[in-house]
Amino acid sequence: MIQAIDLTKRYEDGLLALDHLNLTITPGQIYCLLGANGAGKTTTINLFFNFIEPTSGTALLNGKDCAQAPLEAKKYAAYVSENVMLYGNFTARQNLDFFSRLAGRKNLEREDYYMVMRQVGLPERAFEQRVKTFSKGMRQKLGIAIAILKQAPALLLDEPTSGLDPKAGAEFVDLLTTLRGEGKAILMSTHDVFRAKEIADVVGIMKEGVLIMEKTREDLKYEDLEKLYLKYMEVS
Amino acid sequence: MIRHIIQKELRVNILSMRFHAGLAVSALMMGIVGYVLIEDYAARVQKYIADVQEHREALAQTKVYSMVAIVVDIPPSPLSVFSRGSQDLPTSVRVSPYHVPSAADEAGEGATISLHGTGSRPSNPLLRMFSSIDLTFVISTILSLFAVILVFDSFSGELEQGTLKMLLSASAGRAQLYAGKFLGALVSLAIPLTVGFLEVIVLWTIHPGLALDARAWADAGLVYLCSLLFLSSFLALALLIALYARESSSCLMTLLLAWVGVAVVIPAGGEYLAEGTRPVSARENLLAAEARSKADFEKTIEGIDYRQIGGWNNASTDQFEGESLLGITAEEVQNRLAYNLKVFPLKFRFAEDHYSAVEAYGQELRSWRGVRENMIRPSLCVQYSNLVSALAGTDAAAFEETVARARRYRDALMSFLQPRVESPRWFTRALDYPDVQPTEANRAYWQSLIDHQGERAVERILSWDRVAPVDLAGLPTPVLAPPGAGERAERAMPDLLLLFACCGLCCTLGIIRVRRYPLN
Repeated sequence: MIQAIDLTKRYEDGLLALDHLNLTITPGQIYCLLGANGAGKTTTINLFFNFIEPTSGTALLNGKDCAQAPLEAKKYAAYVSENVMLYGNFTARQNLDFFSRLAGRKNLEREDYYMVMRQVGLPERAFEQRVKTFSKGMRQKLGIAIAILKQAPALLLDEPTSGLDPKAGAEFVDLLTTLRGEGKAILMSTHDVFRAKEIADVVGIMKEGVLIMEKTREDLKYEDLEKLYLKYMEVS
Repeated sequence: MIRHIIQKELRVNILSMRFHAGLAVSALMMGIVGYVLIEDYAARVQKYIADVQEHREALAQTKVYSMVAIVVDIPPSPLSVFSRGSQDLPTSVRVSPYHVPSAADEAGEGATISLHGTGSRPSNPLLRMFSSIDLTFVISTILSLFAVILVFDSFSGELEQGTLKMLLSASAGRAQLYAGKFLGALVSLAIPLTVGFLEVIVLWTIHPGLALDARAWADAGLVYLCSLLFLSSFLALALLIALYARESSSCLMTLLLAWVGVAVVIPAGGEYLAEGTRPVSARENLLAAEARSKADFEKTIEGIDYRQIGGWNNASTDQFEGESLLGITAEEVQNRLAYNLKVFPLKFRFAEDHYSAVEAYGQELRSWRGVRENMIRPSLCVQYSNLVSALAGTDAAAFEETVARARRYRDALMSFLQPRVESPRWFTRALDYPDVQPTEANRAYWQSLIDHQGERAVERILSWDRVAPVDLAGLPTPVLAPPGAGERAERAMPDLLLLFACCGLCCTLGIIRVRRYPLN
């Protein structure tokens, strides 16, 4: 569902942000990308949505080339950023309505939006509240709600739990687990080693644009991911 | 897809404080300016009606054919409410045997009016710009500034806010996003524009002295569409500039600079630079040629033998115009007629020669106007102003066409008058009113009258007031119909195409640029 083949990005200033990345995420799988700031995690997600163009290699969503056919490819994926920022003067439902229409979902009723917002754990009073009054946790949940309404088989999340309080973080993880159960392929970049170990089916560690380690849940069963992560970070 | 983005843009704009502020300012300005201009138009209509009546009565009171002069009043254009056009153009054109109308000297002071319509306006380009505040000016400055404020953060704002990635991740293409933002901003701008137009139409409709006919409605609709085209072009330019900015604050400053350039610097600076190319020497040549031809004319007149036989009373003569004599003997009438048969053809020829010289200067002025117009035309505001004034028929070209029609009318007038040069009624009514002859034989009668009633008794008898007007049956009537739709469209076409081209070019460049707009 989500596939990178020798995906490489070198910026105009010469910085090699991503170096021949290869990864595959199948439906019902959560792939956590770990790495320090500047490791290339956000660049990877940006390439899947064609926010930036690859220098070489291919990013595929459901077999569609994200650089060659971006509009076609984006239909299969939803995006949740580190800091979901929506239209502050719109209510939560109005934001949902706009983004779901943009994603091609029409004829949704008010109750459909309410249902999704309940599903992600937003309090009822927030449904018709302007988003500019929302906390970060509420905005992240609304971001997930938008992704759910898109009904895309793949979900790409760029450090979505960063800055969330433990309770909100735990709720977020529960939500992802549910989505995995529904067969979504999920790529999540994060700094949070513990959270990654908790939910990931596959964990990749990136350093300076290179995927230096990739291990499955089975591989990590008897390993301390935090130590492993620190070990890889120390290796020059 | 684009429809949803348009709806979102519209909703975001309508909910914003800047939209409400802009709407209030534009509605206020358009309402005030519209009210003032409608009152001004109503006053000009009243003046036009009064002038027509006054000139008609004056013509009907003409006592001799040589004094026939027709003042053709130009009706004010209803669309002058939107565009007052060239400010110093006269409201009437005088047609007489001694004057061939030319657009170059219709101010009545020789070749002092310039064809570009700034002759009597301040020489300071800034004062000149603000001397003509009409609805076109309000739309091209206030609403264009509103456009800038509306779109300065279209992309940089969404980038800073983080919603740009959300938008692009939701299956929206960049070109679609651009189109949606462009059309959304245009629909948002159409709201204050429509409110302003409605204000003007309502004020116009309820004005007791004015009526909106079908043509005025259609023309107002055309001006509205042209205003939308102008705002589209301005928006496309603003969005293109906005796509080169990554920070909203710097983008706003850049766009404000661009606005100052388009709305102020190019129009005023272009005019200022064009002053340097004004054909001063051509005007000096004209004045010198005028002086020479006058001297030649006077010399020729002096060469014609004429010896006055009897005295004149209540006489009006002008070397270059017609003459009216009363209180002369029948012998002097015949004597003067023989002289006038030689002099008046010379006066007609002098008028034709003077026209040729003025027209030569007019050609120079037209060339200069072309230079000036091209210097200021890069500004979208100027293109829009030209377009509306061409549609309104308030541009200098419309006035030139009116003058050309007046010139053609003079040909018909001359056909009527020239055979009458041979009649004594060309210059006198003494033969029709022999009782007012101050001959020696009647002097005793006059003296007795003066003794009894005072000097004014004789003045009354000798006055032209007692003389019946000359027969003007068959005099052609001037018809100066306002320029037709075809003529106006032809004159509006260059600026219309330019605005379309600017809009198309900016949109194309915008779509190219948005594909490369960096999101990282």
